[in-house]
Amino acid sequence: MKPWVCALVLASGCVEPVTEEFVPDDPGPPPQLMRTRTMAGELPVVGIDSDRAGGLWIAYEKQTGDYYATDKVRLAHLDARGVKTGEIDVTDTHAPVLGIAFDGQAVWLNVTNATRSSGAHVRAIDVTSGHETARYAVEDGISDLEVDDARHELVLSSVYDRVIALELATGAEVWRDQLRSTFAGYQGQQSAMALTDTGQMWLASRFWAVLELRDATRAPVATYTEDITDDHHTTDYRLFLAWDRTQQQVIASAENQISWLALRGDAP
Amino acid sequence: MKALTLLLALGACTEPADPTAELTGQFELVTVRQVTAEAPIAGIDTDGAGGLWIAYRTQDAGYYEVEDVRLVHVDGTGAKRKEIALHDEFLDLKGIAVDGHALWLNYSGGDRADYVRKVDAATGATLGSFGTEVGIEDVDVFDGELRMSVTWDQVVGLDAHTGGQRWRAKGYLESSGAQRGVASMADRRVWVASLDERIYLLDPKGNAVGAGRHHLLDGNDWSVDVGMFLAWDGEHVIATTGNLISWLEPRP
Repeated sequence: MKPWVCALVLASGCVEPVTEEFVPDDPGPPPQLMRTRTMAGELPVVGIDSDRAGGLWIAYEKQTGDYYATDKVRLAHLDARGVKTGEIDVTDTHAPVLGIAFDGQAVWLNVTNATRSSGAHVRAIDVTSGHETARYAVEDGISDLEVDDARHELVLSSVYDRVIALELATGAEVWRDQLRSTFAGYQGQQSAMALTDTGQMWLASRFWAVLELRDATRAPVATYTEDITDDHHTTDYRLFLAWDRTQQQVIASAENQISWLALRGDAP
Repeated sequence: MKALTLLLALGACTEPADPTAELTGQFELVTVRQVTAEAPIAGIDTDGAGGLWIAYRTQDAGYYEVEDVRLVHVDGTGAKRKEIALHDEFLDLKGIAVDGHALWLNYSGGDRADYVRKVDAATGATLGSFGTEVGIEDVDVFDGELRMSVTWDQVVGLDAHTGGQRWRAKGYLESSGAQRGVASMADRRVWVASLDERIYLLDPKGNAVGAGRHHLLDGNDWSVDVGMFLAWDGEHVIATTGNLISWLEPRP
């Protein structure tokens, strides 16, 4: 990094975007959320969450047999430098995992209903023992999940534009909020979600290359353009969000690319 | 030092001009050599010493069984020097790239299971892997980058150490899902193949600056699975169609 950029970072908190050696003659306007760091998961990513210390928990799902065989589901922990410090192989349940959340002791997996409407559930895997310590049935359409430390809640993002909070200890529903879709006419677009340490909520759309920021009451604050999803030709890509408290940045995983996103200095 | 400078200057004067430097606009890619491989080709790359690494994939069991994948190293004379048999994945192998003493294998076409795997070129042992986006048709390694051809007319460069995306070139072609092989030149230009009669040349900024016409896909005897994996040996574009390997010489 150039010295003057370092000085700028120290002075304003802005960060330098990752290298882009190929710059087309007409690149168009830059996204408001710029990548400050990128890496790939070592296998197909099905969920990410921060470890609260600058590191990451990543869930991988790897096809190891034919269609009818169970997949390999693996939870890997990376420290703040990106070095893997441990991994846990989880018994697969013949259903896709879509999102994880770390509560300080366990990683919660959102297991979707691959074949029937009654199969969706979340399960907690203790990261020390690797054993399942809790399992709650959930409704259809959950696309990501988070843990709200302050309220001891497991917060679920539903593709049907709603957010549902469960009591972490019992699974009892505490509240739910049917959000008004940011883009009128496009119901069913909500996908990944991340909660900040101040209670703000980042939400991703399946259809638009933007992330939406809402306040602690879930009222819309702003939407910001990004470039992690705009090159994809399907809405079925796997998109997950997390919040890095140490960097105060959103972490997004889209099709196995994990990116740290910061607002450009000129973003509204 | 002055004498050395003079020698260097003389050397520079006598150095032949790079014939590929003038490759802009429309030009011809003339087939100057062809060989038939021993099995259907799933990837190709040069070894940096006149030889090739070729990946083969053959179905030798039932429809639901994994296929036979072999990685074969042949020298400049075509003699086989090394062969590694791999227990395959339930995914299609599409493209290989030589990275020093390792090979990158691209597995694509699965149910969101696409990934690249790095294996030791001596033993076949897995050294690492990265999950990838869908639609990767071929891979190449250049200067610490893993370059991937995306079927939807894009080339993506990843840091070969972290897998993090460094750049993405797009907007240079509109084949709507027909892009195939990728190969890099020493000056950072990139060849990309499409399922038509041309192989395109991109400048280091990702802009299409030339298109070489070839005759590998004439007629109706090929399908979307024809291959069109690419490599570059410094003078020729090496392209595969089925189990045929062709050396194409650019001629302005």
